[in-house]
Amino acid sequence: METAKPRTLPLSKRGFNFEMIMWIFTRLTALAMYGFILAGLIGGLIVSAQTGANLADILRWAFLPNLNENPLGAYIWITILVKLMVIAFVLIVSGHGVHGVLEILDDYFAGVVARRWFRNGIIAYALVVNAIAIYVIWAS
Amino acid sequence: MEVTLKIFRYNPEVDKKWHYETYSIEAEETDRILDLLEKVKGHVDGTLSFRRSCAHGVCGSDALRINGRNYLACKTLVRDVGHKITVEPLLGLKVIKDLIVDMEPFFNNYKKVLPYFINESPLPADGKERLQSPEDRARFDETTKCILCAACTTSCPSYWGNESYLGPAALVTAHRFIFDSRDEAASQRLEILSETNGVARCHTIFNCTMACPRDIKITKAIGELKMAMVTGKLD
Repeated sequence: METAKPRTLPLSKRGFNFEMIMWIFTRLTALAMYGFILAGLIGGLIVSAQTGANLADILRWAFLPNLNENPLGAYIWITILVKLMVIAFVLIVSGHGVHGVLEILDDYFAGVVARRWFRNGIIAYALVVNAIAIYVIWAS
Repeated sequence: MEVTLKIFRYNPEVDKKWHYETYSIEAEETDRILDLLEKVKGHVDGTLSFRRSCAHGVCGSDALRINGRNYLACKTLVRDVGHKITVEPLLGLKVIKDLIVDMEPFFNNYKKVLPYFINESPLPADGKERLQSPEDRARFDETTKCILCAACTTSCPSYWGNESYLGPAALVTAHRFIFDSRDEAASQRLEILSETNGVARCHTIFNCTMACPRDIKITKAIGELKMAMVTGKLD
């Protein structure tokens, strides 16, 4: 009888292409979103503990940080950190969402040309929207 | 008991559009839906067309949409679906006549995943079988049970939207060979599955698993294919 030998295919021989990269990306970004939400909540709780804020303030600081009203906004490093976190969150959410839309379009449009147009169009849209988002967050 | 059987009817030589016809027939709770269809065809309306062959849940010919869900007519009893029964052809495939659909697109997708054993290596020294351990055989046991009835593929919303999608049945077949330790074409099959119309079109809806008359855990099998692409591990 044949002995069981481990069978593992190298990366180049397992069909690891754009579809599969995006499949992993979508799952990892979903996890990352939970991570950011958790970080936002913990940050909000820390700030609220120091300032005796109520629940409404905690949620506002966690999800809609307005640095002008955040008591710790006076510290420059916190301002930069929050901006970077919000930018990262926006990029992850938009990447996740845009790929979701592309998945739905791919479900219904089987033509190669149509799929290429949708893919290129959505990538261009994501680049423009993300650039605007980064500008607005950084300049706020 | 009296059963009301509402059946999808369409004869392209006569009808401009499909319609339903309703039949009231006497039946037992333990009668199969296939028995009712035979009764209608044999005693009420001989023009009714449907596929059937073994009538024992093995050939997969009589997969139908019964009360909105895919079943094998030969494995479904009246008591399972109630006394008001609607029988329709499988969704997502073109209707040829009444309950008969064109299975050609289904089998074309099936053929794409190379549904046969591939091993170019020389035979063992004794010239006999390519033996396999019980553990290696068990790895793909679940997916050997597929009878190609198309109940899974035609219950999949992704397939309804796009018949180029390989579909659950083809993926189950790919699973059966990819995880077979004797087969040597796993790489080729994974390449095929990684195309846009491959496993990426599966959105883990689980309709296929619920529809399978052989109780194959299809969504789990497709998940294993996705993991094989990511990790490369076929054990």
